This record gives sequence, structure tokens and C-alpha cells, in this order.
Amino acid sequence: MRFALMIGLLSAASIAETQPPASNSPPGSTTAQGDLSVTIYNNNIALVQDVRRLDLPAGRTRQSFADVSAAIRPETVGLAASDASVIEQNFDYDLLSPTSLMQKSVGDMITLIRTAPMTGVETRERAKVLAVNGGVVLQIGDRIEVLRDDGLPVRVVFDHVPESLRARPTLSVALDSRRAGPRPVTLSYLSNGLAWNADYVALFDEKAGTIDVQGWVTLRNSTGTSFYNAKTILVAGEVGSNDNAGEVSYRPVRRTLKVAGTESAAREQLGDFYLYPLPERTTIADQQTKQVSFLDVKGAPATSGYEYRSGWMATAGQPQSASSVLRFSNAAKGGLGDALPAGTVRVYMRDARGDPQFIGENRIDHTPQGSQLAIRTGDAFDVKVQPAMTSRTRISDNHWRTVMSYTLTNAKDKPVTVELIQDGVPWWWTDTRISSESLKSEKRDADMTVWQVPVPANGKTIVTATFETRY
Amino acid sequence: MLALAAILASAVAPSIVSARPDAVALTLYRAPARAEGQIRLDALEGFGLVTETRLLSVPAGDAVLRFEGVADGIIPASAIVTGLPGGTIEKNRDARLLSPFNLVDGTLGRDVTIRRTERATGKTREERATIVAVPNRGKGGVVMRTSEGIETWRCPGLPEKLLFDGVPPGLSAKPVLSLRTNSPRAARVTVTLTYLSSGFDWNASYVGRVSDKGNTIDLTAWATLANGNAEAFPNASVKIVAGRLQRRSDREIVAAVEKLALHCYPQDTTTSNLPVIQRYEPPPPPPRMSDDIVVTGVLRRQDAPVFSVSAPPAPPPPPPPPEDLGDLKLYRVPEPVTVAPRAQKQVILIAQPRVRFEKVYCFTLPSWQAVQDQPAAIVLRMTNTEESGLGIPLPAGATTLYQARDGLPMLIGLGTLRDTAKGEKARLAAGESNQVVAAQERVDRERRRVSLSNANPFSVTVEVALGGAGERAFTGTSAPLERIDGVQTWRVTLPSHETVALDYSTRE
Repeated sequence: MRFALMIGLLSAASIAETQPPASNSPPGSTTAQGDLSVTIYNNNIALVQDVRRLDLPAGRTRQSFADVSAAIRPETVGLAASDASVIEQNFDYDLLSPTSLMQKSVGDMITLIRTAPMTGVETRERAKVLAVNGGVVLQIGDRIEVLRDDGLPVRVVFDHVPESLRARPTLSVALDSRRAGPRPVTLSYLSNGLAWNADYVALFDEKAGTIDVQGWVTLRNSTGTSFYNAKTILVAGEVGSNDNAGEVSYRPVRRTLKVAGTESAAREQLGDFYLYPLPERTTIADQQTKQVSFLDVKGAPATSGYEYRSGWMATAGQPQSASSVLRFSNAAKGGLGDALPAGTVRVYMRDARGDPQFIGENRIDHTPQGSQLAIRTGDAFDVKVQPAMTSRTRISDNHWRTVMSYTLTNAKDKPVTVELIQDGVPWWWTDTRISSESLKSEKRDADMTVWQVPVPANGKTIVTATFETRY
Repeated sequence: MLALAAILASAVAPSIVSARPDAVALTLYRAPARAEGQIRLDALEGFGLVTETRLLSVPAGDAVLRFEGVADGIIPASAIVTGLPGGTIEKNRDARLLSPFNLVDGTLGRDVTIRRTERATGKTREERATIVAVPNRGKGGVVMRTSEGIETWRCPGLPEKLLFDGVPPGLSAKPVLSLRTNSPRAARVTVTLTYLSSGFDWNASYVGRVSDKGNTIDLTAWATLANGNAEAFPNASVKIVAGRLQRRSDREIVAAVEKLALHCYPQDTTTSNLPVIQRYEPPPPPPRMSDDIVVTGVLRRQDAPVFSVSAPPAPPPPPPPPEDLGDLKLYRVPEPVTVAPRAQKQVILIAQPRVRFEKVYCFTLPSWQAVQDQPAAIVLRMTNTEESGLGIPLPAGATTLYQARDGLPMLIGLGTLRDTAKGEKARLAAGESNQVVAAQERVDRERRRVSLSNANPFSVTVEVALGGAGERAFTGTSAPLERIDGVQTWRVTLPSHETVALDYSTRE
């Protein structure tokens, strides 16, 4: 291992042609990266700032930067160095491969080493590459040949690597320096392939009516490049926005957020975005998923409830499970007291022996502090609703009467309340009305009617309602 | 040089490897989107909650703990670690695997040994070379620098082999979950690692035996547990959760192994476009799906319905009724069991003798259509109450119904059962009957006539659901109709060898 380590260090110079490895890079790695800062956004984009010490001669030079992200967006590269100006920036992605090597050698001389099949005797010849089209056509002396036409082994040796071919996509910058000498050079660019989201572990105590919530930021690096010893900041929010005037982008109904909050969290803000800096420098390895804790709240109030949404004129042949919903707040008073970056909330509950068991998960959006959240965790085994359209009659050309009955059952040994939602009620017609109902309803929006239905322990409640609509 | 290496080593936090858990608990969840039928062993879509207890020594100061032997389906973002005195600074999951591509790619810019073998003599020659390029993530070939100049690997047609000096750093045989901690003191600690993992599923398999009298059934349910992971869970405390959970897809970095393709410069020759005569070879036999799946347990599930099986031995006593876990039901397997890798296992879940049921012959007839000789669907209807001999939560699953004939059980029905709470009605499918058939004729534009006939030597109860839910009440009915779940239903007892008819009209 030690031996391999030394080999690694010694051969470092061959990759980082422009400079020795940065002083803060960990041993064993051979990176050309300098002092790194990585700012990661949610939508698969990151800003990388890389301060490298370069020894620049006076006048014009060309510097290449190895170990930039393999998912770099080269058009976003910016370079700043004192007493030097940028003449041009290039991103070379003409990669060195056997094919490109042969193609770039058209017109050049190469060496052929032939091995005699029986004796193993090697013979050498110089050849000129005439063309590389499907196969390689060579001129050897005054003969023309196709490479490996006889199927016998032939080693092809090229004299050098053509200058334009790179082992990896490489960023190179032409600089004009007004003085000679080492100085820090700041390279910044945007890269795809880095993303983060939050993951929450919520332990719900039904008896006490509380949750303990741990929040983790989870960042994933699929850039193909490792970032060593980087100062890392995570930004919660979408930096790409739709500013096309007149175009309305459809956003689905957010079922997890009941009431959006109006409080500010005690977090650093950048404009409208919250910042989550990692406490220490960290190495984000390629293909790595990394998690760092950012939130730990104990004993915030939470309640569980039930919700059932019935489509317009729906009838179910068998009872359908109501959804189990966990409700809590992230307000400073009586809540988690922090803004919540988008992510997955995994809900756990202790079983009869006190071991935590998973009871469901759901995704939340970026949630400002002070919001009321309602997270659907799954279907209730014991609480069911069976909607049935018991009659639908035409009273006149534009007047229909629809009688609905909803049978709510509860097999638990304690009473529950189910939020029963009738979806698709055409409230936008002003003559739509409910002519009779067994329980007072509430009109939530243009197509929703909601009942809060108490269902006794081991019992059932039947809700009936008659809708008068135009159709 | 040794001193330098020592300094470098001290800069890295010590790494402690925990090879395997000391105790493991496993809670299985069924695939939320799967119907009640069978588990698909080749694509398990359920999941499990794995709780591992590991005993390890933590040094004082910064240290990295590497957890090996976790399930391959681990969802790393769900991992929770408790019991560390220094807490968790960060958790990492590395998916860079030791593979031929990563070996070559990780050696880019470093030296390797290239060994060439002469085909005629078998003599080998070695020389040092530097890997110069591995473009396009291994899809573009390998370029290297040798003492001769720039060469391409394996393009000459010679047997060439690369010998590496070591494994590049950061590569591991399997994805590794590691954790950084900073302990105030050296300690021997018991750490609990809890995580969700894909690659599990379970299903309830109901076996109903109709009694000789034909009025009750003995209902047994087995829990079929499947583990598609390569990891074994020996002597695990196993729990099963019934009910449907909300899951969200996990955006995980898949530990994909890049393939190293030997791409060379174009190698067409003057003869390479000659047509090649294709010899016909028969296709290989299809691979047997379940070759590496071991079925353990007492009852063997068969793919095709069998019409006679030998009487199974008496099942072991079932576990106690489930406990409530929020709105789900949690069953405990009474004793520790070993969940083998890529295996299916069955444990007893429910055993309820003498459950009363009602046998009903069901038809669903649209009101506008003529129907001829429709066979009846036979349904055994049970009420999930103590009075009927049940009164327990019934988790969703597949049902198999047997009836004895001369002491030998005969298969009479295959079906499914939904999650059924206490107090609900449950129904078991018991096949179709061509002895009890229905027909509907259109007498005129509005009038219909339904006729039912029974060729059995016994009378049967028939239910005919007419029209759709909420449909306007029919007029001129020759028998009373009852609205069941919004649908007008004709319920009638049909004596043996008789035909009865119902007239109704859709006129207002």
C-alpha cells in the first residue's frame, strides 16, 4: 500500500503538467485542484471555485487546467489572476483514442513492428499513413498496403501524441501576464452532476402527540470527478426560473403543504435562497452519496389524521382505505422552527417493544418557516370509506340531481375523524348547490366539498349528500 | 521515504471496518403498487427495514467507520446510526467499484507493466508503459506510452496483458457505507445501524379448506417472505408489516460498472467486406428463471394449478394477532429465522378453523345489452367478525380454496383478498359455474328479461347486479330490487333444476 502510495505521488507530475499537486490535497490522490469551494444547488448544478497557485511567466502563455469537473459547462468558465488578462479560453474535447490518434497521423510517418508468426522475430518498418477510412491505408517505401490486411499481428508505434488530442476534456486558457512570478489564480465554472436534497427522519410518538425530526442534507456526485477538501455550501432553491412572459408553467397541487409560512428562519440567506454551509471542509468523491446533519428537533407537536378523496360520481365496489396523514408545523412556536429544504420525509414509529419501525414516506417541497404540513404516509388498514352514487336523475334539461352516500368504517378501538373530500363538484356554476346533507360541509375551492366526519370506535358513519348541478 | 509515508498516513483518519452485524432485525413491507396476487421473484418491489447491532471499538479523535455486509439494496439516504459517543459528522456511500474499467481509468497517468506473449513459443516479454488516455469512459480504447513511442493497447492483434502495481485508491468490491465520527475517548460501543433496503417483498397466501358439510372453511394464511439481496440474514428477528405505505422513488447513484471496450483504429482490410456465410444455430434454451431461488417452508407454491395434492401436515401454531403500528399492522415471527439470500420462505400467519361463510353466485349485467349463457362467479362471502369465526385483520394476498373429495383435497378456486379490517366483508373467489347461468334478452327498446337457470341438484343463492351505480330506478320489475353499493341488485334463491325470470324496464 505504501509502495503504491509513493508511486502515485511520484507519477503525479505526469498528469498535472502545469503544476504540482495542491498542498491541501489528501495523500494518495494526484489532483491538480487547488483551494476548492463548491456551491451546490438542488437542480443538478453546482458552482465550483478553484484557487490554484500558478507560476506565470511574463507575456503570453497557455495554461491548461486538469482535474476540473468532467461535467463542466465550459461556456461558464471564468478566470481571474492578478496582473494578467485572459486572451482566450478553450475547452478541448478532442479526446486521445486509438482512432483519433490514427486519424491525426494521416500524412505522418509511423513505425510498424511485425512479429513473425513461427519464430517471433521482430522486423521494423517506417510507413506513411495515407488515409484512415474504414481501414488504414499505408505507404511503405513505394508499395501501398492496408494495415493488417493479412490478419497477422502488427504493432503500430506513433512517434508522439498530436498536440490537439487530450486524455480528458481539458480547459486551457491563454493568458497575458504583465509580470513573471507565482500568484493565485481563481478559476470558477458551473458543473452539472452535483445535486443535493434533504432527507428527514421523523420519529412519531402517537400517544404523546410529538415528533422528533432529524434533517440530513444528502449530496450526490455523479460528475465523474472527485472534489478534494472542498469548502461546501448547499443552496436551497431553484436557480433556474421560468421568466417567459405569458407562459404559465403548470405546477401540480402540493398536497403536503397546507398553509405556507411567513416566518424567516435563522439561517444565512442569499437573496431568496437559504444557505446550508457544511461545518468542515470535505472531500466529495466521485459516485459518492454524502450526508451531513443540519437539523435535530425533539418533541415538536404532531397529530395523525385521515383523509379520503372521492372523485366526482365515483362508486367503489369495495371499501377503500383512507390515507393516513401526519400533520405538523415548522413554525418557531409549536413546530420544528426552521425552513425545510425539499426532500423526503421518512416517518418511523416505535412498535410495542420500543423498536422504531418505518410507516411511510413522502416528499416535501422547499417549505418556508411557519408552514403547516400534512404528509400522507400511506393507507389506513382499519379506516375505510366506500363512496356510492345512489341515484342520479335529470330534473330538467340543465338540472341534474345526484345523491351520494359515503360509508365510513373504523375498526380501531378509538374514535377517529376523517377528512372526506368530494372532488370535482362543479362549483364554478353559480347554481350548483347541495340541497341536503347529513353533515355540514365546507366548500374549500371551486371543485371541492369537505366534511370532517367523526367515526366512532369499531363503528361506522354514513354521510349522504344531494348535489344539484347543471350537468 | 518511510518517514514520509508515516507522516502521510497520520494525516488520514484511521479507518475501522465492521465486517458484519452481530445481531439483525428485519421488518418486511409488501410492494405498495403490487396487486394482491403473487410475488414476482425476479423483480421484488417491496422493501425491508434492516436494524443491525454491531459491536466495535472506536478510537479517540477523528475516525472513519466502514460498515460491510449491509444489504445490496440499501437506500443510503435512509441510514440512521445511533450509539456513537462522538455522533456522526458525515455519512458516505461510495459506489466506485473495483472493475476492469476503474482499474485502467484509475491508473491513468501512472505506470503499468505490459506483458506480451508470443503465440508460437509461449515466451513472454514485459515492459513498463504509462497509460496516456482512456477516453469516453472506457468506450474509446486505451492509449499508452511505451519505450518505443505511443501505442494502442490490444490493437496489434498480439496477446497483450496489463499488470497493475496496485488498486487505485477509493475503489471497493461492493458499495460501501462509511461514517465519520469524532469520539471524545476510545470506547467499545454497540452501534445500531438502521436502513431501508429494496429487494424484499412479502405476500399473504391464504389456503381455505371447505368442510365436508360445506358450511364452514378452515382458513390458514402463510406469509411468503422473499429476499432478493445477496446478503443472508441469519437468526434474524423478523417482523412483517401489513398495509400500504406511501413510497417515493429514490434517486440513488446506481453502482453501474462501466464496460471497458477495446476500441481500435479502423481495421477494415481489402477482404473484410466479403460476405460471411451465416450458419443457422438453434437459439439457446430460455434460462430457467428460478434456478437460483430456493423455496423453503412446508407448503410449496406451484405455478400451475394442481388438482390434487396430498394432505399437508398440520401447520405450527400461528403468531399472536398483530399489533397496531400507527395505521399499519405489525406481525412478529415468534422465533428467530434465517432469511437466506435470493430465497423465499414461508411462515404461518393465521389459522382460523370453522369460519362461517355464505356461498353466492354472482352476475353483473349491463342494462342495455343482451347476454347469453353467462356463467356465474362463485364467491364465498365471510364477515370478518368473531361471530363468524374470524374477527382479525386479514392482510392482502392470494387465495387458494380446496374441497375434499374422498379425503383428497381438490382445488376449487384461485383468487385474491384485499386488506380486510375487522368487521368488514371478505370474499374468496371459488371459480366459475357453468351449472348456474344467466341470460338477458331485450324484449323491446326498454324492457329486459333476465332468466337464471340452475342445473345443480341443490338450490343456490344468486345475486344479479343490474346496470351501473346511481342508475335511475327501473320500473315494472317483477321482483323487488335492492340497491347494494348504489347498484340495483336482484337477490334470489334458485331451487335445483329450475329457471326463474325477472322483467324490468328502463322507461321513466
